[in-house]
Amino acid sequence: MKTMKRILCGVLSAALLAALAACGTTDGGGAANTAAPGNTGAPSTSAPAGATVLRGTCTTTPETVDPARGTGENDLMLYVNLYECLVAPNAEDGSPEPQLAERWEASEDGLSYTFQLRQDVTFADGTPLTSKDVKYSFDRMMTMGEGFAYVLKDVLAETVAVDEHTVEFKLSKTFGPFVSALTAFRIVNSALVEANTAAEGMYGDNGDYGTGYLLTHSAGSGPYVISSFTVHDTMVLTKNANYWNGAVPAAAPDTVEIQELTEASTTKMLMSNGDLDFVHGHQDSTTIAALTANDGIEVAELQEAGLNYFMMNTQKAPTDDVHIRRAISYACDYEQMKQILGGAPDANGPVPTNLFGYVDDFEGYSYDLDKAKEEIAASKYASDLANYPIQLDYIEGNGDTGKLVYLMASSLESLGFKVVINETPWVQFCNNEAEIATSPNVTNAFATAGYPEAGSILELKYASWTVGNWNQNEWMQDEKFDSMLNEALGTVDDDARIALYGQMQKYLVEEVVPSVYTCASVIKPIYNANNFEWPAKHATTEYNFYYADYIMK
Amino acid sequence: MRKTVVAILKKLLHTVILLLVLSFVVFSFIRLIPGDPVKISMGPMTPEETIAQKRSELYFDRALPIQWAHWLKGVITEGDFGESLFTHRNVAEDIKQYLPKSLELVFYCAILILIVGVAVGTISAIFKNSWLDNLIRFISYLGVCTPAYAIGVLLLVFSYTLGIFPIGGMPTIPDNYVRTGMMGLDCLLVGDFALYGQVLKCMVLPCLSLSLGSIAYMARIHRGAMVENINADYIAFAQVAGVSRGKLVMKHLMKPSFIPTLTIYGLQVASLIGNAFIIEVIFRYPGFSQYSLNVIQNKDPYGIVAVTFVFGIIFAVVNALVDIGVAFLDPRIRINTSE
Amino acid sequence: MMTKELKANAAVEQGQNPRIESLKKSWYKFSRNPLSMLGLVVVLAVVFVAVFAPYIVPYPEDAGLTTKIAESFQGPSAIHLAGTDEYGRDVFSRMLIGTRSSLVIGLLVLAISVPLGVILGLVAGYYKGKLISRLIMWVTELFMAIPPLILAMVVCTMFTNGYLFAAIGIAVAWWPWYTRMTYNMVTSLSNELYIVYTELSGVKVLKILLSEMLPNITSSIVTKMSLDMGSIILTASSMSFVGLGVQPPEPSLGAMVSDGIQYLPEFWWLTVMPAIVVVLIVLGFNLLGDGLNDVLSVEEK
Repeated sequence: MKTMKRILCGVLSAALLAALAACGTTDGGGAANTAAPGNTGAPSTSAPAGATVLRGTCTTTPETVDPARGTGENDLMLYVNLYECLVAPNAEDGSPEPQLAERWEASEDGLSYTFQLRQDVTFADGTPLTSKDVKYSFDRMMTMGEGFAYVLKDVLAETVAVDEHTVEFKLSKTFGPFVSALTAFRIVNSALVEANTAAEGMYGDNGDYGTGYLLTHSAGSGPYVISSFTVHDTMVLTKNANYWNGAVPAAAPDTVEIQELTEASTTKMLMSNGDLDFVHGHQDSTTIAALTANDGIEVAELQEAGLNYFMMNTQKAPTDDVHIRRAISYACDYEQMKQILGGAPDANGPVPTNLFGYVDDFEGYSYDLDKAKEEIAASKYASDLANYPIQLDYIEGNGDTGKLVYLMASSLESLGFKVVINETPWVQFCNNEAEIATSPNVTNAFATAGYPEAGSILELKYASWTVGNWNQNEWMQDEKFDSMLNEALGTVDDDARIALYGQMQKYLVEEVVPSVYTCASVIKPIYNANNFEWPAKHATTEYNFYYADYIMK
Repeated sequence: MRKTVVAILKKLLHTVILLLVLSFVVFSFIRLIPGDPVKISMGPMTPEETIAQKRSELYFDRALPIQWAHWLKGVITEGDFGESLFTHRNVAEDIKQYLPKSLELVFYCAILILIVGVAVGTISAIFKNSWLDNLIRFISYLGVCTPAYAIGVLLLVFSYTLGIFPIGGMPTIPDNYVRTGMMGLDCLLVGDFALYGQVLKCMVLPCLSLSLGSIAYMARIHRGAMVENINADYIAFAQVAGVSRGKLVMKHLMKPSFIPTLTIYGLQVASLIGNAFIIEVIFRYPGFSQYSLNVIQNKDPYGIVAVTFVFGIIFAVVNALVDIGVAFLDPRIRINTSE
Repeated sequence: MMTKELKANAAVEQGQNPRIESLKKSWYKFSRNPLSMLGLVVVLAVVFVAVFAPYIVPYPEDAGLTTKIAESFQGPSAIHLAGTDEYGRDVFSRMLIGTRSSLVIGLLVLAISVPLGVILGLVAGYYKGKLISRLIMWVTELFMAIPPLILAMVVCTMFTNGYLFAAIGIAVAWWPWYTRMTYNMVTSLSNELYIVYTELSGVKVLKILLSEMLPNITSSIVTKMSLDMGSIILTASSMSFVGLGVQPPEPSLGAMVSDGIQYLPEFWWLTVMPAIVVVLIVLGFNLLGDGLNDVLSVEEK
């Protein structure tokens, strides 16, 4: 017993000493390192001397590094650095230009596309890229069915590797935006993925199809490779030493460290201490103002191929009445909302003005409470507004959207509506949108096109078969619109297709009124111009985060 | 001694059974969550067949007891806690990554609480009813009433102005350092003291916000225990017998006073782990509590089950440690096996 | 026991109602302690504010959907005692109205967990050693095996958001403590002679539980309730800090603090002010609880 007590005493005093020592070290460290307070991501030991490091933040890390699975903005910003596609959007207007393919041609009937691949492409591990990899990547995406696979789901019948550098896509029906859609399909290194495929998995002979490996590893041909990836924490990219398209420029950062960081206060602190080089583009206006007060800190305004929408549920009372939806469109104070978002460009109709296929031969809506009252009077709920509360949801922590929602709600209340607001966490938001019963009357969110063409956003937002996802709270079940959409997507001729897109936009704005088009979506990443030079603007948002173009100082 | 060990083992066994039942309860809770977590995790446009496949892979299409049994088998045979729909990897890996970091934070807090809490309590008791005592009591009272996040926020405000300590995040630990997953310890094991200093520096604010409330509470409890003992007959006797003041305080006062203190201490440390999440969020400490909050908010089924399970084990272990400590300090107390 | 009888005798001699007399004595003792009185005053003030907040605050409409972007981020002044937030709403008004939901959640949790916990504790204590008692205490332990905050959050996510569900979540984590406390007190009381006598004289179980056991443990339960009120409000505010519970635009103190963090350090009043109010409320309930504890526990001895 006695010895036991001694041991315990010993342990306690040891703990005491350790703590004292710890306190001592802490103070010492504080004194020695005052020059760099707020150090978080500085890889003081991991990078070799002289290597340049670019440190940035994102709203959330992608969940995987697998290009077959993600469609979000953060996914794409990562993918463009790691993977490449047959065609990529060009910098000026986002129309497709060759990347891994040299050239391509379509058959007369529009049911077959043949692509000639470049012969000099190698993946990051040195393996040459061949038609086998292209076939593997497309088969893999279509089998898995996640990510952008939905775009070609009913279109792509078969991918054929004709010879080592020729690939033929056989379509089951004509699809006008086919080449444009290929900008969303990235090519993976089939040998590498197959070598790391687990035999057990949900894809039969293909095991897990390499999904386990691609959670944290990249297998692409892009200028960077993933060197470390911790989901919802940090990702580290390093230069691809074997990059096929000439060496990655020496001025580009050797290492890129992106951490998940949404807290504005920490962001401000790290940025003003010089511990970050750029921060993600969804800061609220207060944070932007505080950040840009520092010397050399600048804002890069990037207009996305998307809009801010108030998405109105066409199946739920009272927003099932088109008059109520028109009233809401008139009740939106567009000017003040644009101001809240820091002077975002106008939106006119459902398609972003910078997207291929935008047409403006119709009259949109403006802030006009008198017209709103007229519309309410014409609706079947006119006498009974109080019994039909409007549920208005928005996503927690989504920049300034909360303010837009409050503004809209107070405007609606002044018209006699009863409004219930919910600030919903992201997952809950998606969860609610999965079924009509849990979808609210109105949601506010930004939606962007999956590939650079009007058809993408029109399908995603208004087709009857894309309901159940958060991009479409409208719950459109409009046969006329569906047939117009199918006709447009099946039209190979560009001019004819644009004309059809135009009819659809007009139809939506004038007759269906499914959403309020607040303004264009602009993201505003903020960066330290003392540390690096931001490249020329690219029409497609994610290519502005193509780190090989960055020039470190 | 052997009796005590057996009793503790029995208690632990009891807890394990309790936790298994608890995991079943949590599983049934999760089945009640509206919406389909699998569908959400697969992205908005994934076809129904793929989702159904995934659901089947995760046993969500089977009856609750079967799913639970499958999970249990995985946990026992290969430490497989199921796939997290939040991180898309095995929950066991997540635990391995995040738990050590939280334990390390709690370890420093625990030391701080014990030393400072006892020291302050002792001073307060020795100078009973003086202005110092009153001041300490007032501050401790305030400390008990202040939520950890409020302390965290106040510290944040101060550190903005002072700029001595980093206000969030942790230094990056190189991959080849990682041995235990505890950031500070790994640095020590590798011998990188500079990085260890940085780690400690980053821990100062979260550690303080987390432990100040408990320090206040400990000080109150310890003062109470000491004051009770100061008035005891044997102290007066010892004083008369000419025992030196230092020895009196350290040996005759401290030791018996430790029994209630230690019991409360255990509870406080256990509750630290549960309360850490807000602090981890505020200071962006990449720990298990933050992970727990994420899986709970994202309704990640296997994540939630594992989180409750792990917290249950930690609670049980801390309680067992307290029992052992108390048994050492006071041989009269025998651990009661029936409860 | 002894003191009780003596006291009763003394009271009878003076020809007064012993119950009122002892209450008077307790009040005298209670009122002599300035800290307890301070607690009482704070609690009364909180209750008053919670009940009448919409009528006494300067900007009652700011609890709702108001947006006055032009007035956002004003520091504390005579017009806005605690400044304004990012929507230009008056923080002082929102804080006072926010105490309301804190208090309501606290009361709801107690209203659910105390009856449930006490009844189960009484039953388990009375039938100590029997199967039902073991079962109850086992379930109690089950719910005590994980941290209350985590349990409350897990339960809360099961439902849609809203403060009724936050209250249910916390109550699920809270009742076991009442069960255990009641159980311990009942088992120790069961050995008291007078209970044994009553039992032998054939009085029904229910009657023993309600008329003999319950009154004896009431004072401890009341004390615990008052102390718990503080902890529950703390827990609830921690939950609303992470977005579980009261939904915007309705104000809640925890959510105000967490929403304000992103505006630190420039707009400190957004976080510091509501944090102080939380501390004040909890302080009030703790002081009151301690005061009651002093008075009532001495009474019992």
